[in-house]
Formats: sequence, structure tokens, C-alpha cells
Amino acid sequence: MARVLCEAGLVEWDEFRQLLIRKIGDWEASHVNDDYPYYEIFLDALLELMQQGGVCAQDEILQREAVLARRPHGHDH
Amino acid sequence: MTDHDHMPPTPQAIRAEALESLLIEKGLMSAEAVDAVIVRYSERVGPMNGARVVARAWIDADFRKLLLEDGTAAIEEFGFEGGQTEKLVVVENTPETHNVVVCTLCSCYPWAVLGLPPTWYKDPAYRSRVVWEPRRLLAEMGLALDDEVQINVWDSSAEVRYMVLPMRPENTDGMDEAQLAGLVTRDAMIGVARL
Repeated sequence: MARVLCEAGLVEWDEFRQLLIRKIGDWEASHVNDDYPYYEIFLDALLELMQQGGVCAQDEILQREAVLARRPHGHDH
Repeated sequence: MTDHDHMPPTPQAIRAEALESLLIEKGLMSAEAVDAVIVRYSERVGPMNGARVVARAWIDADFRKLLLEDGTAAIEEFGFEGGQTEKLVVVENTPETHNVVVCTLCSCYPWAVLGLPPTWYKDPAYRSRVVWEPRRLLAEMGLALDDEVQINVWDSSAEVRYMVLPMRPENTDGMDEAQLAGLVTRDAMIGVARL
């Protein structure tokens, strides 16, 4: 998604990278031997960028998550 | 993008799908565009690109010279796609000097020649230890270097990506470029292995 949004000009890669670096630093400062959730941090940075840019509001994401989470297990999308 | 057949989706998978579906509904991206990127990096862009560059450098002295002087220009003729090589710097291994690449802050990597970075490349342990104890870390990863070999660590950024030009293995005289490319590994081009 990040690559597609960058290639479409909706995300400035360096802006995303700086946010990712900050979030990585924040996580590393508060975790020592925990498993490193790189893609969670990556997704978190992308979500924050989308919210900052007014592309997707947090409540939109939460509402959609709730809908998807209620899907029957084994659903093939 | 995730396999729902046997395991319920993780919260992160649901969150990613939520974002993807909203962006598609808003017309900001298409499912086809996402699929195209997935196909690109699963089928077309990978370390086989870098291997071709390395093999060419082993055979063609002029290309090798250009590669080491201006990596970005040198790989243009190959027409690699995938971005992330705005500026490519290629560093050569010698018997006296060994090079290894990292991105200490995140995961910057020369995607167009090496594809997507391996998980360990992004890990905080690799990113920090390769800077402050490279010899020990490389030994743990299977590459034991004599104390006399100097280790250079190259920190990648959004502007500059690095790739290692490994030494050509012995007993490869007479091999053509394609055969030589088949010897080159991703890990050797990152610098955590030798050929």
C-alpha cells in the first residue's frame, strides 16, 4: 500500500520514512527484548500519515475494522 | 493478501485490510495497483537483478569501473524497476577489506537490485550490532573474518543505498555471465556472507 500510495503521489516517501524512523525509535526506547513488530510499526506510521493528511479519519478505520472483525472465520475476500 | 483459510486474521491484518478497503473506496488506489506491486516484488524484482550486475562487473573491467564510480548510472542499462535506488553506491570487497550494509534508522535497501529486505535486516539487533560489533555479528551469521580484514559498515538512507560487490570466487574461469550470476547470493551483496 505504501509503495502504491507513493507512486500515486499521495505519500511523500521521505515524509513517511521520517515518521517510521520516529515510531521505530519510540518503540525501541520502550522495549528491550520483545519481538520486533516491524510491520505493525510500519502500518501505524502509514495510518498516522493518512489521518494527518485527512485521507482517512481514525473513526472510519475503527468502524471498518469492527465490520471486518465480525466477518465469519474463513471468509475469503 | 492474507490467508484466512486456517487462522483467524490478526488485528494488524484487519487494520491493514480496513485501510486498504477505505483507500480503494475513496478512489485513492486500486486493488489492481496493489496486486501489481505484489507481483513486481514476488516475480520480477529481486536479488537476481543484483546478481546480473555483479556478474557483469566480474567480466567487464570498464563496467566494473563505472559501477564503482557511479552505481546509479551503471545499472541504468539493465532497466531495473522498483525504485529505491535514487543513488546507488556499490562498494567492492577485497582480500583486505570487507563491506557490509545496514540502515541504522529503519530499513532503507536497494530494492531495484536486491528486492525486498529480509526480516533480519530490519531487526533492531542487526541494525545496532553491525555498527558496534560487526566482526562478532558477522561470525554469528556464519561469516568469520580474520582480524587483519578491515570491515567497513555503510549506513543507508533515503538518498543513498548501498550494495556490496563480492569478490569473484576462485575456479570460475570459463564461466559465462549467466553462470556467474547464478553464484551470487543476496547475503553476499548485503555483506553478511562471502561466495
